[in-house]
Amino acid sequence: MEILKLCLIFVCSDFPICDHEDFQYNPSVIFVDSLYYVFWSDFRYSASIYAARVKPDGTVIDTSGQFLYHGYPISGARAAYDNQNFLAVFRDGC
Amino acid sequence: MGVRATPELEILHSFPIKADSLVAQDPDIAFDGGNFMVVWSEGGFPGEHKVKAARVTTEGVVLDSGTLFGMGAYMEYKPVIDFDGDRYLTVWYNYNGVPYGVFGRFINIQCEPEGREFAIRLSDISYAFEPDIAFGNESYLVVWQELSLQYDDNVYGQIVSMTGELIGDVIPIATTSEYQSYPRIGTGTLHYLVVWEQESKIYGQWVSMSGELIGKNFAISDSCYYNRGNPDIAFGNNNCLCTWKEYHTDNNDIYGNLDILMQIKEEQVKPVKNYHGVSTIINGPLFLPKGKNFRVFDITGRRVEVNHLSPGIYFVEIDGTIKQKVVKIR
Repeated sequence: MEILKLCLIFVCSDFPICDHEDFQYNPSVIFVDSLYYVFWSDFRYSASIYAARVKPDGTVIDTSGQFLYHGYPISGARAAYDNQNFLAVFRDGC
Repeated sequence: MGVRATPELEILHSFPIKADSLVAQDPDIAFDGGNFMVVWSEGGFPGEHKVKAARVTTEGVVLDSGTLFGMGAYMEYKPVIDFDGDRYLTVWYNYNGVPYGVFGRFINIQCEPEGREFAIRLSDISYAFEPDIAFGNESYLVVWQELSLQYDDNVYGQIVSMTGELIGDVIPIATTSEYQSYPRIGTGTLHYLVVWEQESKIYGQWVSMSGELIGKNFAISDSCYYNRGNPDIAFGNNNCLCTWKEYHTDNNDIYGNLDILMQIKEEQVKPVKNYHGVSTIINGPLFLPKGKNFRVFDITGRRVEVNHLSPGIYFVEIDGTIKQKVVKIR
């Protein structure tokens, strides 16, 4: 009999990365060095791009999110890292 | 638009990558070690849309005004891109204008298309395929959503070589009767993890670098009923983070779940279902005589440590043969 042994362990339950009272949506995530970086669209001050760092143990460093851009970016952001800084790209406006 | 930020998420500056009267949407980005490559879909509203690309330096200087790399279909949407160490492969879908489907084309680091565009998945109908792409060790995995004959969304994939050949057949990643959509790919050291939204939950499927499914579809988000969607996935050194939007208390929030990939190993074991011996009921620790090669398995076939047994049914193997069934009641 062929047994597929352990594939995946969930080390923690679902947890909030940003649960500010206004709308947050369209997240994307990348891993750089020793941290996860999550980017999303946020409606707390009209439409904006926010981001947060998450440790590999699930600790959210930026619990309210860090503001990155204000305009009308409603479709989230995609980001890449150049070994020094990030570039996040997104649609702004209609 | 683009915004540069430090690893501490301090803003350096924001700048337009493409600013004119046209609609530039659905951008994606990758880095080749020298410059970023940004791809997007651009057109009028309503009107035709074409997929374009531009290099952006690490200082935020846009080097190209938008290089066309599509095939000229009326509406080319949702380009995604990844880098294989030599050049980029970008993938998009044709929404309006035959041929419908998912298409790819290579772009070199000078932002010049290389070779012709090629079909990854042709379709008879116009549909929002919403593809994603990731480069593994030696090839790309492309995934997309697709309307089934039963009119529900399924998730499929295709391995594409670094020279643009389709390797193997289309991979049926999530094809049950539920709606499965918005697939995204995370790339681990040995496997891909494809995640998608499925009727308000987030699901996943391990896929080997050669395109074989490993195990079955599994739930990543918990079983509580919240409206979830837009998943994404990234691998760290020892685990992966899956994120999604989740509707709570009158608004959407960002949620996630951390997972650890343990060793995936297939092995031949003797089936415990053929055990016909007498069971031993124990109340307390399981004591095994010394001097023999013992292993203890639970009813799923998973090996367990004899000193860490909880109440349940176990099978004791001696020198490669199941010899004893044990029922531990306390």
